Amino acid sequence: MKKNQFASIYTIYKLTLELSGKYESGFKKSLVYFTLAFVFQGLAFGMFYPLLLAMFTTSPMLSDIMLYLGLMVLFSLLSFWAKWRGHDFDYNGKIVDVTHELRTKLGTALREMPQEKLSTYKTGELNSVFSSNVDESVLHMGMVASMFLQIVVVPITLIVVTFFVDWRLALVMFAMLPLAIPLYSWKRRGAHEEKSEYNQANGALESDFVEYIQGLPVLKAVNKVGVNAKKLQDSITYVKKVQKQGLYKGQIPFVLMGVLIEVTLLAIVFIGAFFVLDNTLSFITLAAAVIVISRLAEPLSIFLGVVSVFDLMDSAFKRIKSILAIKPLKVHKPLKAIKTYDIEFENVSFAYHNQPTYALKNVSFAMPNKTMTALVGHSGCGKTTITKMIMRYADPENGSIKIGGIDIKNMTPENLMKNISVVFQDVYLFDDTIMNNIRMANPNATDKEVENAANSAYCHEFITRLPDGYNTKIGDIGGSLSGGERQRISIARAILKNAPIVILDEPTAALDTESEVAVQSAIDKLVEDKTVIVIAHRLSTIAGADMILVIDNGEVVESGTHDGLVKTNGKYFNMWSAQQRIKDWHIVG
Amino acid sequence: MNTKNTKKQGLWSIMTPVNSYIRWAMVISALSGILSVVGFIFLAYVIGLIMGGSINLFGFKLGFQEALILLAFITILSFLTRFYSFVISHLGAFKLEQILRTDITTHLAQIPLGHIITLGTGAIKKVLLDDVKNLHAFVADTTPFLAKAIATPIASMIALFVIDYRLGLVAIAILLVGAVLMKFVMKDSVIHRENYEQSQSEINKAVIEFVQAMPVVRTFDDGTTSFRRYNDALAKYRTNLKAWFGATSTPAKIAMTILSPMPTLLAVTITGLFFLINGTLEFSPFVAALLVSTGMADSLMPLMWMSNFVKKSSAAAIRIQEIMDIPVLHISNTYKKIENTNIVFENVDFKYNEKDNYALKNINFEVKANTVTALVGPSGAGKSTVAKLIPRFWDVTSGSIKIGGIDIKEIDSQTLMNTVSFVFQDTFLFNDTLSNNIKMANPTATNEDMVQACKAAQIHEFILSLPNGYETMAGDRGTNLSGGQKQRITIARAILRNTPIVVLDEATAFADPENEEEIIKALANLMKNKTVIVIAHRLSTIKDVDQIVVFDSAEVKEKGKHQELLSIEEGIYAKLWSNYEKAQNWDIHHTGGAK
Repeated sequence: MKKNQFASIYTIYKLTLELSGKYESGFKKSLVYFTLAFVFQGLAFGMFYPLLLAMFTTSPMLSDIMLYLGLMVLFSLLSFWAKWRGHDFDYNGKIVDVTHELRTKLGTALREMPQEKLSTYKTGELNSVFSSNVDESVLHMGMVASMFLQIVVVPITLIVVTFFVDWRLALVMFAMLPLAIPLYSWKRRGAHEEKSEYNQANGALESDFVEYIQGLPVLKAVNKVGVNAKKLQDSITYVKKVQKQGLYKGQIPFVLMGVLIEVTLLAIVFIGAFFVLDNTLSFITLAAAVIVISRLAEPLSIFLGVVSVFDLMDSAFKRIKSILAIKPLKVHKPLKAIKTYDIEFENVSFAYHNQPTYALKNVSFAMPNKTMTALVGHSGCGKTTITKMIMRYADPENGSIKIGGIDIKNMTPENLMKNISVVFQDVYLFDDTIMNNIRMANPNATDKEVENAANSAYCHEFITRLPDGYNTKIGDIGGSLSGGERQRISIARAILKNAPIVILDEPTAALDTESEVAVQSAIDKLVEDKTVIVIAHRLSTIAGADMILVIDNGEVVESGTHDGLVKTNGKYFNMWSAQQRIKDWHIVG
Repeated sequence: MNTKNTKKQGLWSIMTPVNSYIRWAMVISALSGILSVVGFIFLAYVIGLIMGGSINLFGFKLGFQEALILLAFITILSFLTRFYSFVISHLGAFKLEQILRTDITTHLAQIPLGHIITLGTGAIKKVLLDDVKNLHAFVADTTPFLAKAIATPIASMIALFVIDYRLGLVAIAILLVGAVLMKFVMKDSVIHRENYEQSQSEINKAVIEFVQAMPVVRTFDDGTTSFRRYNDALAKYRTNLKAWFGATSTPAKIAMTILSPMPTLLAVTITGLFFLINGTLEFSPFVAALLVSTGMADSLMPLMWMSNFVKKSSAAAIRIQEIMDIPVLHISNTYKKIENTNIVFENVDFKYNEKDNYALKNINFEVKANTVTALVGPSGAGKSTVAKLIPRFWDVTSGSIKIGGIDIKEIDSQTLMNTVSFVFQDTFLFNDTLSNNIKMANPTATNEDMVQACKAAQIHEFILSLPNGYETMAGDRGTNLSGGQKQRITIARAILRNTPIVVLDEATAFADPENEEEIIKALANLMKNKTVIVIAHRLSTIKDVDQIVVFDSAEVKEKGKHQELLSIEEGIYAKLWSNYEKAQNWDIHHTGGAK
């Protein structure tokens, strides 16, 4: 157990060094200074032994007193100096550089990690790693290191000094003070045991909260709210019960640690008294020992206060590291550039991470250059997975995906993405001007080119009606853009990019009828002369496609043109006729 | 519950329910701090007794042995008080968690449902779980610590003055120098802190943007735009934080040095030695003074660390308070029975917030019992808002909504909930068996009723096909049901609930295209013999309804049947209809190679 605790502190140390990156040597230097500072501090305290002895001998010599006092002041000044130098690392802003470097690295990791990996993180989770975790752990790095060194180095120095004064007292100190370590690990262990049961109880409580909040309309109707929500109340009470059980486990060592110094003092006086009565120890030395030991109370109590910060840093560091450790998908050699834009899937099989079933099974098809291919099928059948694979969301387990005859693994991500535009169902616009939102697709585009793209996407008109036209910031008008207008801006972006491959993933599904017509016209402009892959629920939308792939359960079950598929009387035909029937349905008043 | 008149009072007021625990814990913790100081002083005198002699304490003569026993007793007492205060504060914290969670969940049931939808499950859950937990940490650990960190230095200082007032003055002088310097350090800290916090929130924004926009970033941005924005935010943060550090680093280091125990200790030692030499101070008081003189300086660092925790807890308290400050729905004391289900909107105005524009202006229309009314209009026109006002997700700003001639504010909430169901606002399935999930809508329903409802909702066959049938667990930890299956189960629930008024949003109804046919049949069964209000998007579905109410810019612009509305020249409905037909018949116009 003890070993584990040391290991955990050592791990934190290692992690700290790792995260300091190129500032590692600076951080190490500050650790050396801190160590020095606390050795000097221990020596300064240690001067109490000779000082008091010199003072209370039968014939005190002023020169001796001045000498030891001088040494005490000197050691104190040296300690101050070393501590100052140690704090250079945080106070002179190096620590800010560390956060900066770390965040830049994190940003790059985010940008480059496989999209599949990225999708396993929630936005809030990543946000807390990037902002608060980096701040909380790194900004306190110097402070915590100094505190930790203080409670280790000062007592050791004092024990060594005491050893030269009276080895028996040193032995007593040596027996008592390291007790802090088992107590500390006891506390951590207690906290840990308490935690696993507590986490479970909290997990159950969490899902009960979700249930309660989402089920409120129903619960209100049957009056199972507040104190009447029995299940929720039980969970709340259970959490309390678990906490109560853990209370003693966690607190006893904590409190014992708090009085450790007082107990040590008591022991020193008790044992020391025998030596004094034996005449083998002067009671002046004993008094000095008491003064010296009492100095350890302060760092220990601070340490107790920041133990939880330790845990916090530990987990923050680990989370940061786990993100940095994610490697981008490998780009295979030799690198090749795309010349034509036909897309080919060859026996592609793929399963999402941690999923038992295949999302795509042995999928093969070819989309010739500048044709339109539609993917249809039930939700969850694999349509979207196919579009994701084209963008190298993740690598397939088997098979290969080629664009213009070149495996996409042999392209840099930039090169691949340069050739693809996507229009999603959900539009994301940056809190920036409309001009910049469109231009991001092609930073070199002139204002005129941006306006042309906007014009083609049928948004020039409404943009010019905005107070600042193209320079209107999205954040300033926020909700006043309709879903259709936002979608048209995103299409303008795609038009400006002018990528030879266009992927449309239900681009009008979230829109009301009003906006739909304009967005539809914009899409017609976007797809001109491109290789197009489209997912659409309304089959009439894609009836004109050059090829329709019917996907079921991760497999291509039918393919052909609309007319051909309708004739085969298969799955596509069933879907088509169901949609025709629904068309005629209406509510009868 | 005193939720109505509470203003934002923050951390301490939110702990009122467990005040007695906290006070007691703080008093005892302070006592433990005082006891340590007493112990230290006593220790100094005990050492003097080793050589023989005795001290006089309240008339008792104590030799070394007796004194040592007393010292041990003080130490044990110090331990016990510490322990006891921690136990009390923790018990108080546990109790506070329970009270707050019960209060908040009760309050949630009394505020307009609209608030809950706006706030979102995630945010509310965070308050209930994390913020309450944060308060726990404050109550359990910080309050006793705080009491001790304040009591100990005061006791030390008093003790030092009692031992030797001159040494007391020296210690105070050092601290004053430190405090003045500290003030100097803090001089611009407000501005720096604001800059820092602002740049920190900019980082937050940039990160969120960066993460959420990643699919867009990867397809549309070679890294120059979004990464630049992220980097700009980082750079600004670095500049601001460095400026803060730069401006304060030297004075901060000086202050930290002076306020550390070392200078006080040195000063007391030197002056103490001086007084010893000139004979105005004795050995034991000198040792005692050295033991307690740094009490003030010793407490500063922990106090500074604690301010971090306090800040975090305050933020949590404010978020809890914000939820508790949401006014509850007005509930009348004179409950009236609903005789019929005519719904009347009379001069209804509505704003979501006082500052907002009107979401509805002067809305007047009537829905006759057992008829179907469709609400149509462009998005944002107000049709969904109207629907939300009927089950009182929000209350009208002015005007009134009446059901059977009675203002809905005069109907108690349970009756109202049993009169109106807002289908698909409650598609949530509880973590319970399917049969309990369905039957919960109507506790008197028999199994036979349930099966009938499920048949009507086109879900009976599917449920039977599950291995455990109606006893299959649903919800998070249960079977994976598709969106459409869940919807039909909730339709079965609504059928069983059998409320005379049904409000329905068609957009959510057809969120899952695969099950459209079944859902249509299920809905048709649900609407039988009901007063129905439907927010319609597919205009073809409402050709035959009794009444269509057309909204535009927060107002009712047209009312009537399909054919009547189509005949209005330049009418809004007519335009919507022609757009609708166009959109339905779109097929992507692609000019490419192969065709």
